[in-house]
Amino acid sequence: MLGLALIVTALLSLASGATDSSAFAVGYAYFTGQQGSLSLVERVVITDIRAPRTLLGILIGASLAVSGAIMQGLFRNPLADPGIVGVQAGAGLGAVTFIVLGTSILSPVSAFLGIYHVPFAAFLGGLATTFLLYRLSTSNGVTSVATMLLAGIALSAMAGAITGLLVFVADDQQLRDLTFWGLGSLAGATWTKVAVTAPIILPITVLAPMLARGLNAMALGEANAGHLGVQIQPFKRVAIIAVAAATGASVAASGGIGFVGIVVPHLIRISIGPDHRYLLPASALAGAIMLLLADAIARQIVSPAELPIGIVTAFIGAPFFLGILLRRRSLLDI
Amino acid sequence: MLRTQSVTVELGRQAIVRDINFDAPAGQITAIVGPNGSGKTTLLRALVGELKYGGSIEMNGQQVREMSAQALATRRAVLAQSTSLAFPFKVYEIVRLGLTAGASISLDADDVITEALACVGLAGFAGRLYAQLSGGEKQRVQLARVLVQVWQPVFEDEPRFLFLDEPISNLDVANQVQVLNTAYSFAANGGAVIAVLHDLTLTAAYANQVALMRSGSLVSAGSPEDVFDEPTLEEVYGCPMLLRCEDGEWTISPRVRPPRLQGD
Repeated sequence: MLGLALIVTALLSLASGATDSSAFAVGYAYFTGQQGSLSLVERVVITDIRAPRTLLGILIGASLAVSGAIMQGLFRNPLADPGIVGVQAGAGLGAVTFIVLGTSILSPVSAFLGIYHVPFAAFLGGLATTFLLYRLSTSNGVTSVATMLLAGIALSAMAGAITGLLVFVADDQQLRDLTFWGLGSLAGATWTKVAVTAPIILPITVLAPMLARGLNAMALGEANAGHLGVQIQPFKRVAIIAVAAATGASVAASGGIGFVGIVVPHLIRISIGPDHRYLLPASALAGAIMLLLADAIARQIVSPAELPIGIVTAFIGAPFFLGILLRRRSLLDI
Repeated sequence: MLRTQSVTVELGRQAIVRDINFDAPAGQITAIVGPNGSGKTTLLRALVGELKYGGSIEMNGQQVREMSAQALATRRAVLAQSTSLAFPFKVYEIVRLGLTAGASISLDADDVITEALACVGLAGFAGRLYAQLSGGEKQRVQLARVLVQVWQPVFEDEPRFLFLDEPISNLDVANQVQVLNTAYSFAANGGAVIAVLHDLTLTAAYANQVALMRSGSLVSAGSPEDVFDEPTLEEVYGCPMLLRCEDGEWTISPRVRPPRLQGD
């Protein structure tokens, strides 16, 4: 079901944009191998602009939703999300550090890492934030939701402040890059970005179900999960690294796009239940669909210009987040 | 057989449990009793491999601190005092978590889950939402989960262990008896049950072995007849006690008779 929906949305995504070509024509042309039936402009637009954008959208949407689901399982809370609790901000700080300083002070490092230097920096930033967050909000295996959310605010603010400082010293070209990137957008999608992002996000998304057994056991609390044979410390380490790497790669490619990681797993839990064996793959598919749809809206609503996608997901996600918060207010009384 | 020798447990730098020696044989129920704060739960957490300990704890001849999480999970299951659940799981999904511990993977999952739920008196509850159950039902679902974890011995001639931490403290009398009967049949089928209990009457009725603790140390260990007598219990609990045993039927309770309050 979800797989089919993803194919349809991907075709829609390929077909929508400032130049018009119908989804049907695009689908027909590509499935029958008769690309010749499309005009040259259509072909260039589709293969060089829209195809990487669609692929990047699929990768990032899947990554946002899966890292949200893993983090919620780990923190045992449906409100834990890399965007909300500051992991995206931390990853952003890492990325900005290299965008601004990568050509000067840090140039040996960025030369060494090549095209991966920004994703790697974002990964380190995300990893540091996730680790700090877990240490701050968890004692004796019990995670305090209130502490987690408040620590997330503090970490976000801290990362934001340092990011602000870096932006202050950035030159004009860097500023343009940063603004574009900071709002969260798929507009800068290129085949290079897809090539950098896919090797990080694809394995994490595909292998995430290997964490399912541990995450299911964690729902009973850390001690019970340990009694069930989960090696708690290594397990948590792997889960945190997976979240940080996926968040780092997606933040590096498209900036911080919020709320997909909260909305998607929550909807999946309502429709098929909380078992992570199904939740993780279903979230990956649904996350890809949601981000492609949001991107389509971002492109159509003010066409031929476009909105940053982060604005669209925030408009959908923020009320949703408040909705969960209101219904689960008791969770915060800790 | 679970064998403890000079077991000491420190939390922070304070010794919470000191010099514990007792055996919990297979085919029997061993109860750990004592006042609040006497170190019962801390001792249990060390016995199941959760806390570091000094001295020796041997499970079927193997030192517990040297066993991996997986090796422990296939030999023993632990029922916590209370379990908080994240996310809206259904009853059978909770019970199934015991199955994925690796011990009983060859068994037919649905059969075992159904049978375990029947064991704890919850036949027909499989599809219910855990969050909507009563406290007693929740505790019995968790019991079914830990039963499933050690449903069959994985290794021949190696008894399985069931650790219960105050399994009946929040339950009504019918639920208390139901849970203890389940533990009894587990022991009767060759398993070893080690339970922290507060109810002394039920302890005397069900337990073969009793370890009585006070402020981190063992006062005495042995059969209920050996361990329980009025002077000892009065000294350990610091309150007058009533102890009776007629035809094997025990009653142990605080001796209280406050004058009736008259009110206005």
